[in-house]
Amino acid sequence: MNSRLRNFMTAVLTFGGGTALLCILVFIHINQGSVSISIGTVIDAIIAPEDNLAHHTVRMLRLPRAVLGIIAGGALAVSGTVLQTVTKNPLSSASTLGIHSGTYFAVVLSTVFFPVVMVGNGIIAAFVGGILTFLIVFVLSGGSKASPVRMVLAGMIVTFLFSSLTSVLQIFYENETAGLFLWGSGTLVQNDWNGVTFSLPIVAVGLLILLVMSFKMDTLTLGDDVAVALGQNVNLVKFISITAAVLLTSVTVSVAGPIGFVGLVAPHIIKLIGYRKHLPLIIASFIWGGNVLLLADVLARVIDPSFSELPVGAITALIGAPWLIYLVLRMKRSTYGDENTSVIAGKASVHAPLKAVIPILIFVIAVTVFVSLASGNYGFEPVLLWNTFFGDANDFMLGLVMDLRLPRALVALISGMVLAVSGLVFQGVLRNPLADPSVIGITSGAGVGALLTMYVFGVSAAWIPVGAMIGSLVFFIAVMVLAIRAQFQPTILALLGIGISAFGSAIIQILVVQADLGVASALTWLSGTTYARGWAELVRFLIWPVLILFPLLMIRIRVLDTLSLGDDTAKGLGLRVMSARFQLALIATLLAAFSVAAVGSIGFIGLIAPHLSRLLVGPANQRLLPVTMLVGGAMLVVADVLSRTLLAPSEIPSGILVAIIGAPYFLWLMRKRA
Amino acid sequence: MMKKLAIISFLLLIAFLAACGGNNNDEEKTNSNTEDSGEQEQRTVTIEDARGEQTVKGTPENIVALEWSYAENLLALGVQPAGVADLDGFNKWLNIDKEFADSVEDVGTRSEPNLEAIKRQDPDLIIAVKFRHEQYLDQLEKIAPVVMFAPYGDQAIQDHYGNMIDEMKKLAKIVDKKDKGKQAIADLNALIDEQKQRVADAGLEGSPYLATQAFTAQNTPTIRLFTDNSMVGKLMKKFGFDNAYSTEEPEVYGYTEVTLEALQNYQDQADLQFLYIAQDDDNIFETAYKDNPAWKNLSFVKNGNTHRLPGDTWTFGGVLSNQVLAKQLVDAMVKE
Repeated sequence: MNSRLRNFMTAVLTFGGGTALLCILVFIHINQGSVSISIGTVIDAIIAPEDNLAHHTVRMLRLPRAVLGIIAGGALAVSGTVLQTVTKNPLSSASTLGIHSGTYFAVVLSTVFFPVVMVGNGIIAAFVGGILTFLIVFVLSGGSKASPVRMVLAGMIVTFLFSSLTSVLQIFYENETAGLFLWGSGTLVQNDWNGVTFSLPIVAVGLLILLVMSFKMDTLTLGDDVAVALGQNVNLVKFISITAAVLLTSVTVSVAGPIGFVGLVAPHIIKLIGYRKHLPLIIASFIWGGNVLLLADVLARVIDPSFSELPVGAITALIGAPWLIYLVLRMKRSTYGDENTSVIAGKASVHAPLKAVIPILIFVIAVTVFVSLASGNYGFEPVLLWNTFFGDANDFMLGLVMDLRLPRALVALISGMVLAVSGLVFQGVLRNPLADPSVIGITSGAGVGALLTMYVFGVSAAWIPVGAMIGSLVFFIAVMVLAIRAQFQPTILALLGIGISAFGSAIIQILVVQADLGVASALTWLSGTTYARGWAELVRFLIWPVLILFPLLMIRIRVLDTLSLGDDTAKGLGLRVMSARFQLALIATLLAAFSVAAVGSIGFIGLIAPHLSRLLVGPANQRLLPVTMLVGGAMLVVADVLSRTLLAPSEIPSGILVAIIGAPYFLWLMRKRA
Repeated sequence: MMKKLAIISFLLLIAFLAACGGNNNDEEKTNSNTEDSGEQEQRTVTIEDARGEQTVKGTPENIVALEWSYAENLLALGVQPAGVADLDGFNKWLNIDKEFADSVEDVGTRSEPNLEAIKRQDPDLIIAVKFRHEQYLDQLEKIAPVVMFAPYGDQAIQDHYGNMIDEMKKLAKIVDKKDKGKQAIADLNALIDEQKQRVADAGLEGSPYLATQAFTAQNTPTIRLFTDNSMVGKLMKKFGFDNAYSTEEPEVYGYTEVTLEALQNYQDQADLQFLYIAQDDDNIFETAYKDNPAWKNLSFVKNGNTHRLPGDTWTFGGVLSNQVLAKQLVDAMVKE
């Protein structure tokens, strides 16, 4: 009896309370604005509309925005719920599966090159982009047999790829895409009811489909085999629900921009309350998703009541991230299991001996460095390079090589090594194939530090690297302090990292929007670049990892192998697991911090260099360390050459190039090994 | 075969590194040599830039300009720069009479100019701006002496127009074309006086106005409302107009981004003139807001006091851009 009463009360609070809160938020929302309109007038404008400016403002500008907030928040939350069910991954959402970045890229691309497609809010571009992105992620991660981890891994790689491509467009079409920055982090600004009338029917259709499918999705949660045994056409159910979810996402992207956190957080709130069946889950997600987004928009305008707008997406992340962290810390270990803790990218087919691999890699690096020194604005000039040193003295060319090309190539080489090793250690410590400095929040911490240095303290730009280092260390310490309670559990650590990252990215987005024109240089810096790096960076930042951290790591690397056996076995072998994890993570963080100080946030190398090396020499960390180092170094040198020469005289940030070259290769590798 | 190749290349690399190490000193010598030869010209100029007092030796002739407004001011001084960052962008967004010679090289983007391309121009002066290039300053200085202006520094943002004139004078001093500089500024002033007269003739003197730049960022119509410290604001003041929008602190870039609703705050002024810059294919007042009663019912829209400026109006430029801007502003206001 008691439990039934409790269930009833929960339902009343979830649905009734949620709806009531929605009404209250809408009311607060429409009372905010750049012009003060009395509450009485606001009510009149709704109940007894007249043809005057105040009433029009309420009805044409404020109400559409509030309604769109509900629609967008609801749609995103529902889409997140569905994606989490179908991929069987609690971390799935339109952003973690790469769908947001794909839709956003499609829209930015169309804005710059095919403005014609942008008719109707760019929904076509967004939807096509979204579906294609999901297909890429789905097929490359192994189709219907894909494990959740593989799918999120592919999603992350695709996100890397598309956000890099988007950055390229934004850097090269600075003026064309200038207005996209605010929208790029999500905004609900409306000029009339068009956004609502456009999105409402599409969202309604998507929602209806999903409600019809909800019972079939219930059986999906029992596992594919059980679902098949129950006579379910699993693939069809998945296909229809995913298409509907992507549709919901692309509608919101096309009218409000990518707003990330609602889709991840709102479903968890409802699941936490205790709902498991999809019919109530979807309806409740819609209501609370609307609440989350409206609250974010209300807060955005409380924080910054001036005329200029703060991106609601960033505010969503700002309030959503601590909430996620809270959830993670409360979470019982069993809830998320150890499912995604095994290190996999594919099977190591070639167990090549180190004696062969290392010389070959060194040779590759030697060749790439040579190519780097011989390449410039006029392409590849090996003969000229030869003559410069051994033929006629050519002071100009010599200066070019010594002042510009050589130090830059060396910075690329060493920071590539440092980043790759940092990623290797993180993957081992967290026993998570997704781990790299950006996953644990360090890269976003560095970005926050750098931007704060630049725009808030207003000190000279020379301090940016130092700000970045401090930022990454602060974020690392924050994650670690939070993780003490969870005893550095790998999955929890990774989740905390995601939360902190999102928090940092939100701050970055807000600063970027506030800084406006100065944004281009900040963006360039954030995307990671070897541009204009020279001897100074080598001496100031990169010498320390090489002299101190690498040797230290060589002594401690065996611990990683022990950790990879699992906590219990490691403890059984006499390892103090917590302390070992902390020490290794600290070394990895310092490595990441130094590389961030030298070249900005190049994240991708830390993710893929260890995987490539694993394919070459297998999983033993002692063997992996030197190989990963060399692979990472070679990758960044190649990226650096291309960044200087491909579009000369324009530069492409090498971090972006690493992602654009590395991502498709990595995806191909995944597919091949599937 | 592979092994041989490997060994050879590796040896080559080591040889290069060794050679580099040995050549370091020579290079410094050559550097000081060029400085010596420069001293034959007695002329030195001292100006104030973002870092404080800077002394420029000689008269720079091969100048690389990394920001558009300085490239433009060089043209006004009759100097063809050796290199300009993002030439295509310059030609696309700036609408001035003078053109660059074919010899002017593109040296990459404004935020990340190509150091090698700059070096190939063998410049004797690089003009940089603090907000983009401060981080790379030491790299630029290795190539050539650098003058780094701070157009968005604390001082400059008080008066963007005044700062532009000030920078023009400094530039004229550096390239030893003070007369040309004075002439260019005098031309601009004459043009402004002419426009002021037109405004007075039309009886518009003292009218309040709002000046905006409007564009769509997807579904987000964005309105930049120019403040008093902007070039638009300063020019309008010179013409005798009165900006209805004021801020306590000067806006760094000379505008605040607002939404349609904010415009209501100013509609009580009966004769308010509303200026807007809009692209032909993105005129939000003709498209997104056309049938919106919250726009149509604004007093200045009802009274027909809205004036459009063409999309290629550049509000962040130098002396030449401001000539165009001044004329366009008054053309829009005064319908003859």
